[in-house]
Amino acid sequence: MDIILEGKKLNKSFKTGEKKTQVLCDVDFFLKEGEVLGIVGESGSGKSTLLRVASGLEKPDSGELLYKGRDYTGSSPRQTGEFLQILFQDAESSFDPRMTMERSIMEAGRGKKDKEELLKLVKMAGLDEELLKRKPGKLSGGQCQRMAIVRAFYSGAEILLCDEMTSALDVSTQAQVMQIMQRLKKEGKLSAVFVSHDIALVSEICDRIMVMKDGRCVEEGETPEVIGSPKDDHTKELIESARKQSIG
Amino acid sequence: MVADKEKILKISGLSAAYEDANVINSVSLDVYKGEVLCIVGESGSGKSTLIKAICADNSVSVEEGSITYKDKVVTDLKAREVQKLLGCEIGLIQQNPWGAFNPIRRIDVQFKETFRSHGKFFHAERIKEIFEVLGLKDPDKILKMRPYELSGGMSQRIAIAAAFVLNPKLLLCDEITSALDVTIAMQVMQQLMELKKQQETTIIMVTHNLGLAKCIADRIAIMYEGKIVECAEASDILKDPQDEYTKRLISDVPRLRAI
Repeated sequence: MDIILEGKKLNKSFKTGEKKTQVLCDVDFFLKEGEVLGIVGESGSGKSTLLRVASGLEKPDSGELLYKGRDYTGSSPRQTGEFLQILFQDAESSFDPRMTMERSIMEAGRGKKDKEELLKLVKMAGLDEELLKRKPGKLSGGQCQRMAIVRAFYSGAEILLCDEMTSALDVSTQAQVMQIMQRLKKEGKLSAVFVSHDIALVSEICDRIMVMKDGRCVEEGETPEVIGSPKDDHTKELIESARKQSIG
Repeated sequence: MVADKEKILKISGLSAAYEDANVINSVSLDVYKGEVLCIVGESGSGKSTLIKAICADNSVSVEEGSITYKDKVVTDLKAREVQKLLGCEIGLIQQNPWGAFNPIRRIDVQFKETFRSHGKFFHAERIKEIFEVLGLKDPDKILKMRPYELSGGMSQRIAIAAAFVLNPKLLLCDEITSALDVTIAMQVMQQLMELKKQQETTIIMVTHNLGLAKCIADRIAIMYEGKIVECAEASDILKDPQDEYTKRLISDVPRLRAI
């Protein structure tokens, strides 16, 4: 599999007054085509910042970002939107509240008006096409998140960056959203970075896992390897907590 | 196992509503002294409303049924009498620890107020003992801090301490770790269980996290659409669920696996 997305030696810091906080320290990552890469770590470990940097929402202080070997460091979200889409925890607020779902999604298609494809995607997401006429406030959290997946695919993006996309959902709704992700993965349509604090969820869908702590990648490897024989203490701690809560 | 135990709380045929919507429908539940009962369900199932009803929160109106704490019918008590029960007899900890404190007043001042408003004397040693169990090092320093200076995990520990200093017999916990990281949540739960053991507190814990319930519960009650669909020993529910909704809920929980 070819590498579709790559970050090299990424650094990012935020300043609040006099204080400077280093959020990413020399982080390297890569994503192969058709692969799902999981990023886990506790709050403040830099997971979300890494996604924001990779998507162009934040500029890295230093480092390099590559899409299919082509440097896109410093590109705007509008430019990166051609090949990647980001899915947030709060899907509802990623839609314009005044627009119907159909209009919002069509707009993401950059002039493409393919109703047939849209309906196909809506069906794939297990949603009723009637929902396209509604505004985001009239949809449930799970429906909104599935519409966001529809929008991402309609836009033609090849890569999904998912930032805690199911954390605000109930387990049953989460399971519905994950079913769609699993189906897309089986069909080979999904290249994604999947950020979550839930290592059990990550272990279900990801081929590889990267563990972050204090802005650094402390462990990276194939899922069975990381879950089965973690090397870093922080990874062990995360897995131990998940095991205690595992219901068999 | 719990059949011969003393009942501390009895909810019978309770239906409760907010202004316009009926949220709880004919819920009956007995809570036994010293147990940890977890109420599990998805958003909107009525878990938090049930907790509010037990505290006689005035945003919830009880339409039918009753709640009895020991020998007092809470649903018949006057506001002033309910107030006497809350804190010393029935404690409450909520999801957002910052909501329990004034963010810009020193913690020791707020603890003093907690003691005073419940007619008790400030007991610094007692606070320090509880802080120690909760893994809060350097209590003198923490007591001089203000809540806005603390992390989420630390704030939630302080909220737990504030509930325990009054030594309540029944503690109601509403999603107290859902804003915390998994590892921190596990630590906080273990510390809470240690305090419970020391003080022989009865706990009703509302959570959407079945895995967490597995770790701490003696019994689990599953709530769905305002009703309790199943209530049994924790291991029985997890191994052999009877209700269709419970079965679905259990199968939807992500499993740690190495694909």
